Amino acid sequence: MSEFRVLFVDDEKELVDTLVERLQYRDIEATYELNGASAIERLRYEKFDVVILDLKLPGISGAETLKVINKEHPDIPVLIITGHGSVAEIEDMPKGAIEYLPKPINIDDLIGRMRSAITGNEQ
Amino acid sequence: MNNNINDIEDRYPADTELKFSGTIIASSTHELNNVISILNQTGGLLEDFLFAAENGSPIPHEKLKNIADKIRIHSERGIEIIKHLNKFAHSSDLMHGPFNLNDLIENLSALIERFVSLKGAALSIELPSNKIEVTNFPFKVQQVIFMALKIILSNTQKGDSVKLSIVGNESNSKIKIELVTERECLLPDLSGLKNYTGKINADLISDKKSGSVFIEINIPAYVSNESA
Repeated sequence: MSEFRVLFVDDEKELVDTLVERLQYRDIEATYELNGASAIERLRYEKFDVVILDLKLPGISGAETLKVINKEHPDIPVLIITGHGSVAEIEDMPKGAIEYLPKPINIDDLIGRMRSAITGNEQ
Repeated sequence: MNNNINDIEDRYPADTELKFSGTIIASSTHELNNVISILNQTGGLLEDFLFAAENGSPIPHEKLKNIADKIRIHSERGIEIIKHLNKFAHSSDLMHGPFNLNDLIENLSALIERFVSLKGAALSIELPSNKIEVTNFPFKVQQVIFMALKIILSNTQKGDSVKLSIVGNESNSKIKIELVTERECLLPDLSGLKNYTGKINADLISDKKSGSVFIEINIPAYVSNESA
């Protein structure tokens, strides 16, 4: 049985495909949406324990997507992944994210941070 | 303090070249970061399979083939990004001189495609079969095209198309940035952009017709180094 369920929201299909496969290999149920609108829609009828959200998304931005998720699902922790070299340099840093993860992501680090976000414990 | 970028551009026009370079570099390195992330995770997946193989689960041939394909495709994607970014960086080597407009547009379009796709729209380019040679300021020309694109993108929505093309002929070539949409759009406001076209001696027009709004930048075949 899966430890928890995670939804990736990122338009880099090949990246999330691979991350999903690697997490499933570790008995973590993972899936993805390629844009904010479809992620918002999916979260309305499917339960996830954590969301991993990219800031740069086509159409509705990552920041706007985060706002909607926080409003509609205040209990679901959202971790932001970003290609920015430094989190401090993000101009439109949205409020409401649990944590920022710079790309490239280390899979074990990602799992640890997801667990912490779900349980509410510091890593 | 007002940090609105348009205000900053109005007050410090010389800094906009630096801002333009920074924007292109930031976008391209984001793309490169994505490519490296994919390669990084694909390498990790291969390690996962090798670990499983050591514990008695053979690696399916199809899985290995997928990994090899992914590494090849994304390495090539990374090489293309670096090639375009390098060409862009070298376009400032010679601030003024002769250059091929088709090549300039082709290279720039590869670098700005992400700005269009982030709007949920698609970018296409249409270039004439004959090469258009002009003498002008290549870096400045790119900056004006990008600024015009930003104006067009402010009206762009998901499902729209943006077309970048060269129309006219060698003696009278125009770069056309066109938003193809069924929505009713306002005519683009070019007042801010006109501050930047003096050096390249370009005329600007904006217009709209059924299904599209566009900006045309008239690029003279020859502009002196003494211009503006």
